[in-house]
Amino acid sequence: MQERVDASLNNFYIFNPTFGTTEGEEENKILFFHPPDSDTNNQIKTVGLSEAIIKFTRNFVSQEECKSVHTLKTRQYFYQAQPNYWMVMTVNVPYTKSKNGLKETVYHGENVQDDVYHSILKQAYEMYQLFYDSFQPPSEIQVDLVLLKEKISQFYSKYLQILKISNCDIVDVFQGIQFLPLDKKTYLHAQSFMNQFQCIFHDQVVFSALLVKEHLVWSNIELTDLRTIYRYLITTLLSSHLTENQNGAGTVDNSNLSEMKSGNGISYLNEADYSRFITCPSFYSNIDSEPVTQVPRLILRSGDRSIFQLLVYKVMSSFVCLFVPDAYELTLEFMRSIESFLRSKLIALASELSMHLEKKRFTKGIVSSVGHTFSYVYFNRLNLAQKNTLRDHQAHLTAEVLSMLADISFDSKKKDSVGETIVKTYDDFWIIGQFCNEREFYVVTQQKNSTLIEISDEMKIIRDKQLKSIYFHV
Amino acid sequence: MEETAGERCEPEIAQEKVEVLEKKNEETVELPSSNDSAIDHEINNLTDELGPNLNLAEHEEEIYWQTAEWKSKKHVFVLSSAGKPIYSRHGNEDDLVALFGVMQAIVSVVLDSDDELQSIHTSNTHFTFLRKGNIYLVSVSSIPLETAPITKLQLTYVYNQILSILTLTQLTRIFDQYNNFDLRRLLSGSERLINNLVDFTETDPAFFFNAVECLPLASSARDVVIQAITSSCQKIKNLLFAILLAGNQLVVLIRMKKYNLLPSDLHLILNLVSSSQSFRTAEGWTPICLPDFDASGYMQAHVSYLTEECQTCLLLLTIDRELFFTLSEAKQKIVEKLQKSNVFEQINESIQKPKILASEFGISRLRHFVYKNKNTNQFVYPKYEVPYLLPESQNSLLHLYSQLYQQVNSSQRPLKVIFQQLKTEAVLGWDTKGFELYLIFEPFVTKSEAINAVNKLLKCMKKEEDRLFISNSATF
Amino acid sequence: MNSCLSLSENPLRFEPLRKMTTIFYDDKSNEIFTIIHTDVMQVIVENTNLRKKNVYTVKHKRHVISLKFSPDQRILAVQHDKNSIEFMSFVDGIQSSSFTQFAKASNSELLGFVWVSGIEVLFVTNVSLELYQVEYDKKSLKYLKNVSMNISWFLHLPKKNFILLCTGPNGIHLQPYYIQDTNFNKLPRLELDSTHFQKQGKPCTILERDVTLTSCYNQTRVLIFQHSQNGALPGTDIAVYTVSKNIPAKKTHVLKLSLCGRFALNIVDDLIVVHHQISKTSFIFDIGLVIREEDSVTILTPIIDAMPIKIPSDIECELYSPHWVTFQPNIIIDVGIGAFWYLNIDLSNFLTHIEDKCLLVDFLLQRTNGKIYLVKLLNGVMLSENKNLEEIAQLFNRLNLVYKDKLELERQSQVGLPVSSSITIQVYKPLTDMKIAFNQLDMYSNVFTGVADYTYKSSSQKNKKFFTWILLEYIRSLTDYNIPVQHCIHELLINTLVLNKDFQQLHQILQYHVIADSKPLACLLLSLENVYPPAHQLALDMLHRITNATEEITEVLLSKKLVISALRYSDAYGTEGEISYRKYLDIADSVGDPNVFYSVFVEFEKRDQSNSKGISQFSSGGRCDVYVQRFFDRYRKIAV
Repeated sequence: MQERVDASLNNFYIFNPTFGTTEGEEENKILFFHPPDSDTNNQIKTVGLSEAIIKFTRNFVSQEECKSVHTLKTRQYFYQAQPNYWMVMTVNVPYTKSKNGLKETVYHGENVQDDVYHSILKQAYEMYQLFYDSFQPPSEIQVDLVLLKEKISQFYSKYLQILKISNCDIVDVFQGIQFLPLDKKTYLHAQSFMNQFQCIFHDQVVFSALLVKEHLVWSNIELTDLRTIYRYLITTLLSSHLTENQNGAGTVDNSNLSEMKSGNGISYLNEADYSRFITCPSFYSNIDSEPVTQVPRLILRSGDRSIFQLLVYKVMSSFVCLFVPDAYELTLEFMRSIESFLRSKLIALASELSMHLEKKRFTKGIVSSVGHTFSYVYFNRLNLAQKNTLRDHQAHLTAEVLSMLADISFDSKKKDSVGETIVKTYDDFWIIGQFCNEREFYVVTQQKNSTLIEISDEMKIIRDKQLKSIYFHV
Repeated sequence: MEETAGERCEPEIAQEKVEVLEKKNEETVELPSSNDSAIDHEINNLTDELGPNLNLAEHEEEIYWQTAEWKSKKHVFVLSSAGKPIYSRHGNEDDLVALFGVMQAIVSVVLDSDDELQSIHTSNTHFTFLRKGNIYLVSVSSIPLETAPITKLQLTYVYNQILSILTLTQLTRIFDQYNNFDLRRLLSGSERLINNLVDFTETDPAFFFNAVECLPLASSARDVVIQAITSSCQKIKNLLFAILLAGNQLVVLIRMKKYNLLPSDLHLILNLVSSSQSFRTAEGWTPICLPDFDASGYMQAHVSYLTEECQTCLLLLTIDRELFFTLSEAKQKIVEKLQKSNVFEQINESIQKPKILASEFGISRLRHFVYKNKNTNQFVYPKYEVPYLLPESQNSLLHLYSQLYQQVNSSQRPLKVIFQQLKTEAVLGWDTKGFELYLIFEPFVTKSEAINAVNKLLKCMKKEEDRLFISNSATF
Repeated sequence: MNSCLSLSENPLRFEPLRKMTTIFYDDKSNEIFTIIHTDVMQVIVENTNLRKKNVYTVKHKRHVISLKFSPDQRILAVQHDKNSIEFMSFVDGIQSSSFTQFAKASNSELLGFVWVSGIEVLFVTNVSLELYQVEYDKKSLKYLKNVSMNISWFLHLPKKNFILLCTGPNGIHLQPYYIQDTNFNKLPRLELDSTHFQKQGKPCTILERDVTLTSCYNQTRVLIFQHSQNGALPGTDIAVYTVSKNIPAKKTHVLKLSLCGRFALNIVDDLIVVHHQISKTSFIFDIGLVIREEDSVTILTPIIDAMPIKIPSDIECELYSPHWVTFQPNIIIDVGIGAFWYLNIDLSNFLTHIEDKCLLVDFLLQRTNGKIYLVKLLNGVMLSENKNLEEIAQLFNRLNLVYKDKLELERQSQVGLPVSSSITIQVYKPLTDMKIAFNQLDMYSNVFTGVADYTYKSSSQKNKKFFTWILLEYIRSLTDYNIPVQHCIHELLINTLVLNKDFQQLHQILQYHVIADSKPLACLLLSLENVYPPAHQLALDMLHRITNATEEITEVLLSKKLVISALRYSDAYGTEGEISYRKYLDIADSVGDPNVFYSVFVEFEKRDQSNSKGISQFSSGGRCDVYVQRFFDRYRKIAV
């Protein structure tokens, strides 16, 4: 009987070859090594090999950086985050092992795709930059190694816990943002709310964003920062709030009902109970309410790379994220003024927005006129908008299909993203990738005996419906 | 690398090489036996070696293997597990000792952690590593065409070429005794074979489709040839294969009943024939090992061109070393039989006549196609026509095909159908049990036009089947 | 604070009241009658609108109770005594004939008469209403109809032929009638608030001088002075009864005065002005300001502090003099000096006086020339230092609520429904009956352009952002009321965003289709590409949404040298019209990629051969032959 083991993290280390050039000082090169418990000798050997490989490739291709090393059992990804600061991530390739040990294990290296995992490594650095700006301290004075190592390990030991390694796919590369589809009227309500907030708190709050669950409604954060911040919110800061009632269908206030149950029994449900700060200074969080995380301090690259304090306020399933410059000291009076404004205005808007969310939730994966079910993923490189039904539980797509999707995407990028690719796999999965004007649209369906033309026609109907308001012509 | 124009490749050459081996033994310097600490030691100085002192002679004008021009070439290196250079496609192996050392060290460190180094990638250059017992093969390529699976196959071909010269048994025996042995001594004279084979794996569609092309010939003519050969060789025992080649195209393949030849072996044979002009002037009697057929031992190949005016090359493969004269007589009988019938004219006419043209099938918007018969591993590759007249457009077409073939035949994610509408062409790949079909269209082709083209083309292929392909039923 | 009530400039002057003169004013024909009793009765009639004076002489001198000309000015009806009315006709000023008509009801007392239409006269006696029709040729009145009840007094609203009768045994009921083409429509009696009209539990008579009949916010209103009985704090308030067609008129408002003394009432621009003689000041009430819920009484206080009327500069007169007589709606006549004024109101003070800006907007919307002051208000709010977006949002909502009404009414009137149409469209009941609608053009030209210039010049980042917030707020408000936003507003918003380089915000509003698609807008987006690359994508999306924009899209694609995509798009969506092969080939050639040129050329060559009807573009001498030749050299010559 075959047992399939998913990909997993083998090791993750950061080193700078210029820090330990003399004999015996090799250890200084290593700024961070995970797993922490591996002995230093082994660490030095692993780093040594990476260094050797980097130098070896330089023999042939001086300008290009070494990007990945494939071995039978692992895939190693290299990223020179800054000159001489190398980050390396080694992933154990998924393999199928026969239970009784008769047949030897088979390694599925092809399902670990370079571009997918290389972007995951890069994202790890981008997230670090959100908190610590860069490995190199701004001043050029002799680098205080201990401080640097401390900073790096503090971040990455936590980060690697939640890093998803197994079955990553194209969506991890897109790292897109799910915008909440709204009609004009509701959007303008949201816009008007945020404008009124900005008008009052213009001097204190520089950037802000409004989300409903994991959907972004509005934000004035630059796109480059937004991408990492959005991921930080969805995967870390708000993740507990998002999964709380992931499968809780039904009524709008279901989210806060569950909160009530877990909290202090069923008391009369008034707005105060389910609108509160998720991150705020300790002096402001009242004891009895839900635990509050400390105010994270993030570095935004737009503007002059300044540091901001992130306040997040939650009402039902809506989140308002506020970026206050680090220099501005959060006073009690300031926090009260914000809360009173938010509470007064946000509740009506939040219920209106959750209504839309409910409506959207039930228009999940599409069924074509002929009854075939389709999953699709859409991504727009220019505004990072992304729609994705690949990961819905009823999509049950195999790892091969997801890798096939990634193949089609990277292949198209090499051919300036124009046109269309339709493939039929041996297990009768049709995968269609279409590219137009910086946008990608994929549809996957499993149909035993449909012809290429039937599939292409069905695809056209779906695309015209899903992308009707944009120019997308193949 | 001058050509060794051996008049006749007498069988005893192989033995002679083995004696040389024994004599050499005593003088070799005692080498450190490889063990763990050495590996670590090697790693540390490895980084130094690669450091500044790599370019040993500073004062000389730049040494050829540091020039950007050399670096950007497509490299193939072969070295032994001890780091001894065996072959380098560009540059003299001796100059690159340090480089070989580094490669060996990297491979063995990975090997040491019970893993197998497969490849190293920069943004658009691939370093592919293949370990076959004590032989390490490395390729460095920035040709977009050559993705990882392709370079791995190329290295396997190079390894097979070495085996075809030395056989696996001899190779393992040598290295078991002296793992530090310098294999170049045994391979001297066959660098040209390896060079030609590497060129073949970079440009010839047969390699990319893992198949062989047949000379289009009326089946009646082909039967006459088969008849002539089988009748002439009836009595000869131990005659395994009789192959008649017209350039790289197969005219006839006759085999002993229970044996078969894979394309990879046939490609070695094609390489052998096309690499040595000597067979044109004199009958050749050369030992050859066909690794995929039987890597352990040699076969003897009687190689000769039939006649002056019909430049087709006949190979008679046997495992019996003494059969030179009998095979030579058989060849004369075959020639006489063929001269009586007018088969030679038909063969020559077919050689002169240009191969199949995609345009002769009258399919609108079809630019080119490839049809591969999967049972016989034979394929049709129409002659290049408009717009594939210039080498680089032919090369990019080959790249398109190779990518399609790789996608359709991928080990993890094989495909039944692939249709791609690209910037300036549309491609369709179709894989069934019996055949694979790849078509290249004008970009404005519609899907229904493409499907119609497939059906029409299949009909034509069926109709022309016996002219274009050789059924593998011909046996002794 | 200077007063906002003023008397009209150069009023009409007439003979002041003397011993032997009596003065009458007919508010239906707007004429002042001055009767001079010399040896003969001379009647000077002055029309206050036309300012035309006529003099009539009447043969006999008899006492005149009241006199009114018929609406067509041919007959002068004069009431001399309690039971008859003389009808005289004149020839160039001299009485030519006359006849008299006695009230039909026996021993009745004639309270007064009213010209109901050109030729119909209504006699009101203490026991009946009698309607007569004048027959010029027979010089007599023809009796039409009568209703009998006992009447103590009556008031008449000229514009609407509305009569209010004080009926009941001792005048305790107020009975409205509505005369329309010769028949009496009896309306339900006023539901008087018993607390004020009873003495020791018995309903007491209503005095004529306490009741005023007028029209305010185009509804007939009966204003009744209520002198408070409970003695605690003596003072009078005014009860406002609103008359409506089918339900009995009920008390709808109470105007708190808590003052006593003599009062006079005027209606200026639908505002109720109460003149208080003792304090020589006037109070202003607005009953339209508060949205009244059904059958509830709204207590109102003056909307501005009491203030005297401004002394007119062009005439010497004593304000609030005993000689003043007020007529509806805003007429003040000083019989002492013989002057006829209209009472006017200057709204500027209200701007500063009413803090609640939303209330102020509602107030201004109901004033005839409220628009200028609305503009002042809006500019003030938008340019003020403390930027209150919330308040601006509410102002927009109020303006657009009224604007929506007006649009709906216009649409309703344009939609001429065939009489027999079965579908019963719900007749649009206007929420408000405001006089003016502040539409988008007013907002754009009078407010936004000004604020835009100011913002453009100002350096402060917040000002620039504030203006975009204002525009977005305005669009949000229009959208909430389903009013399609006009192009000028969209364009202004986009230009502002572009000026502020706020491209992400622009992208989001386009992404959510806040701004209507249009070709000019798409072109504007195209021009932004080098400053904001995604604008190009937005432009294409917009063009795609606009139905017949295929040519534009193909042009855009060609400008980006995407020849094959352009050809594919025009094949799919383009009209059958002949594509100019030459244009596509020029661009394909300029791309510099031989494959592109080859693909396009071969495709056109194929189409050119197969297209039978049109002239071939590939024939020699055709427009593409330079390429035919080049193609031949490059591809065909070698192969042959």
